[in-house]
Amino acid sequence: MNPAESYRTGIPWGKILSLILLVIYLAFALIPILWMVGMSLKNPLDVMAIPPKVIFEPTLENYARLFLGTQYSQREVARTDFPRALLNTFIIAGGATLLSVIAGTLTAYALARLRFSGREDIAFIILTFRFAPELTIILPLYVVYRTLHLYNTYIGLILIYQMISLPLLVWVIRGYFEAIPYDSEQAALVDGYSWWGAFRKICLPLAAPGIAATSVIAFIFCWNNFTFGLLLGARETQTLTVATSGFISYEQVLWGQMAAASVVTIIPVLIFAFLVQRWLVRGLTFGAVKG
Amino acid sequence: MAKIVLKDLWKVYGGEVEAVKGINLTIEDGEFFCFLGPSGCGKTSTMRMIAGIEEISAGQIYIDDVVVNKLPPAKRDIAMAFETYALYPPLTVWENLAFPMQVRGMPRDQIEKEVQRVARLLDLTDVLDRKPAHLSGGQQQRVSLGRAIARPAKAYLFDEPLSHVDSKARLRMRGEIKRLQETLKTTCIYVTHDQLEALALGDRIMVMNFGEIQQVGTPEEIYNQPRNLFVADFIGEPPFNFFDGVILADGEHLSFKSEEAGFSVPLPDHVREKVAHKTGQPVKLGIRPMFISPSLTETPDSHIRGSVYVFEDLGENGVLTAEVDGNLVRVMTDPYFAGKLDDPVWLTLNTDMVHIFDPESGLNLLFAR
Amino acid sequence: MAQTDLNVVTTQKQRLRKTTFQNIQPYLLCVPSFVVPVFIVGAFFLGVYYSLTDFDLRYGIRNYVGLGNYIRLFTEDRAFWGSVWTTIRYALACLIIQIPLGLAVSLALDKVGAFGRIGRSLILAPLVIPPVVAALMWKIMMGPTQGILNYMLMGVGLPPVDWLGDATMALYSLVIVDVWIYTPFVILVMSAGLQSLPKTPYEAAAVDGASPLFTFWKLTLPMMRPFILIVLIFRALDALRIFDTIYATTKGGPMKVTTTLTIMGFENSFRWSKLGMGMACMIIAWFLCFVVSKRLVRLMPK
Repeated sequence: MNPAESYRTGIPWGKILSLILLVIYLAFALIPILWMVGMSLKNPLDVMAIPPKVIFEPTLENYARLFLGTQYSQREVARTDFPRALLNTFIIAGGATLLSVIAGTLTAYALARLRFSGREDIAFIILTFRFAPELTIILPLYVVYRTLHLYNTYIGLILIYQMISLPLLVWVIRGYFEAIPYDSEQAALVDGYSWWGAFRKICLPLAAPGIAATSVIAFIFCWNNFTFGLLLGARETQTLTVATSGFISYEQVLWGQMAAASVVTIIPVLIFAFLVQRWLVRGLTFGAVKG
Repeated sequence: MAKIVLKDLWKVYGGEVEAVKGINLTIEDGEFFCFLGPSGCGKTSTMRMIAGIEEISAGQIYIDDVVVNKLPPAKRDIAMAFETYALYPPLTVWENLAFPMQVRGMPRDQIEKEVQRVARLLDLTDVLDRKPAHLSGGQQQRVSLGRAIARPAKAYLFDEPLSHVDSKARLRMRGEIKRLQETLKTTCIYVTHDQLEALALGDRIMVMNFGEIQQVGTPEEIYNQPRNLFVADFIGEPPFNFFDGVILADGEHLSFKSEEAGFSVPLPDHVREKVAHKTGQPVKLGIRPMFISPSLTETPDSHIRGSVYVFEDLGENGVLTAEVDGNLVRVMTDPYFAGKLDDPVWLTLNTDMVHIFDPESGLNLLFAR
Repeated sequence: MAQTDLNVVTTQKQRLRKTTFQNIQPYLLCVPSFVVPVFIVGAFFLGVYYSLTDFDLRYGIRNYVGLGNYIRLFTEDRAFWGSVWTTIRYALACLIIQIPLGLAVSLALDKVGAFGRIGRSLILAPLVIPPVVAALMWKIMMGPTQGILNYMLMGVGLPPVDWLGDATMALYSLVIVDVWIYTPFVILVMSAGLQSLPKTPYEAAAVDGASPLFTFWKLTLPMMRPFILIVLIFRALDALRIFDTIYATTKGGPMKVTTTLTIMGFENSFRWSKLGMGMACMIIAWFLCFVVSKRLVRLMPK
């Protein structure tokens, strides 16, 4: 990149050091995941082996137990209904994202295109939700939810998950709308479309890829959430993250199954992230950094 | 001060695009040398190879008889002003100007002195503490120039430094640059696509097209003795007129006859020996607009008959465009030319100033060896 | 980014004065987005109210005690200041490691050349998995006897470490987990930043003779300032709010060493059923975040 370097004769120290750093870092980043995958494929004896076994014979026992419900340990405490948790997480994360996309896109349009007093204040307030500790809201909501019988319901969780997805979607999609030149919309208006028509025909199609990608990112955030599901849900609405952490309890630690549960939890997310990795910077920084 | 020699210099991009094709050139110490040519002709690539920010595909570059191919730009001791200014965004004007000197570890008070000198020269004293983002285009361009000349160097390279400047300022800056070089007497290379600029500034000019040298010479040589069709056409405003035709012999005398336009022009003696071998063959005749005289009435020495296509009154002179059998011929006149649209007009060529070109090779037969 | 006045255009088109619809239209559009946050803001104020009571989950609200909870925390509760200090220590340690590391890796990426889609996704993997799962992963690896980390240490002759059980080590082990999860975020933003920098000043610097270090210090670093700031804001605030990973690994132990304000709030509320006190902790935590975010966002380039 730096032209001054195309003439370095001899050993390119800069490049070598960079490569070493990258290899070390990649190892650091990937080994835990690989170790986890490995652990999920170990039979219960290998899992507990001291010293830990690096070479072993893989088995799908743990996954079978997860999905078929049989447990190996003596105390058959079926604390987690894993397939149910998988379904729950899809429903909750999906529902929350969908709701946020609809509400958020409209708000984003208003913030991007329409001029009205209090605009920047509203935008800022939406942003501040992101920076508050989750428990500050969850704890009182715990009480509220129990009273309103929203505790342990899909609706209740989908509503509260808005705290995660809505600010993200509003801010980033606003950025996408702002990037669309106003001329195209203006032409549509002159042609006789109402603002809604112009919105549907011009803004939405142009911003669609960005909206889709950001929705996926919002979905990932919802999927990864732990505290909401922990405190506002119970057995019936248990999310994957809570279910996975349930394999470590005071009575026993089912490492193998926990590892398998973790792998199942992270696979969809990894796939989704790969698909939208081009948009990740914008999504993660709420559009503060373009591209 | 440095003598720069390019030997069989090639630049190939991506293994396919040949931007510079084997050029050989010597730039003398202390010269103001222009690289001239249309966009994409290879002049900027050549300059960047000399600077060291573009890798040399083949050939050598010598600075003061030392091969510099493998030397990084820093060690070549050249300074460069970029077409896009390439100012340092986070630094103030003062820091931009001081940068090359700070790199070399010059003492602070000396840096201050030089920066002030350059700032005064380029009228930047008021904006020394501003950052490039808060400067006008003209100011940015002056900072870019200033940064290049702020420090002593073996050679100064200017890459189209005035191409983004409005015409009034451009004239002024052109003069300043010329004056600067004459004061410093340092080797300068100046890249431009504006032939007027090159003619005005250069001690010598290299005209390039498609990666090859078309001609190297003084402005006078380039203007009056173009080596080929490209140079002839590229230099001069309004440009050369060209006519297709054949050489006819009538005993001792040769003439040029244009089939289409139906006219005949006797060729002067000094031309005869050079083109005699082309008798009967198709050639192109070229002549500058200023060497054609128009007349609204037929005169005995008129060569061509045409009609008035358009006349532009430029104040100090005028340009008449005449239509001659479907072709447009440009003639330089005084501003009082009275012809109106479609009036018949007779053109007389100053035959001493014609050039004959070989249509296939494009070479000017008057100067071919 | 031209801001446009849709209302003016449509008004000119219709040659009518602004209709009521156009006046309230923007607010209408925002309404769906506000029903939900209103809910949340309502919960917040409810929480403030609870923090002023001695609400016990077993018995329901008892009495209004005003600032009693807060006073207890500030003066009597020995664990409180410890948890504040722990929260701050954690955030600082995370920042000090993640930002230079992330910057270094993104510079290395830039030097070596793009990694392509797959490479990028590999680097991002730790960031996109649930933090809880990441913490569980590390918990496995950090096991005192069965953990692979100690196995590797002993393999090279070093003594094993009680990563999560040792009082001095525990917090820093958690910092390691945080670094593992969130450094990719820093890398991502820094890489985007580096790529957005103009290239020609670097050519000029090469011609001017600047060494790579000089160029980095005087050109790259100042130009990266906005990106470093963004990363600083996001990471600082995330670190102050941390809960998931600590809960999944040490739950605040051993011996309260890793108890941050958020953990403390949680424990008060659910372990000891003292929601009032727990809310007081959370309001203080919220206030800390609010102050820090206000000051940092002011620095943010927009």
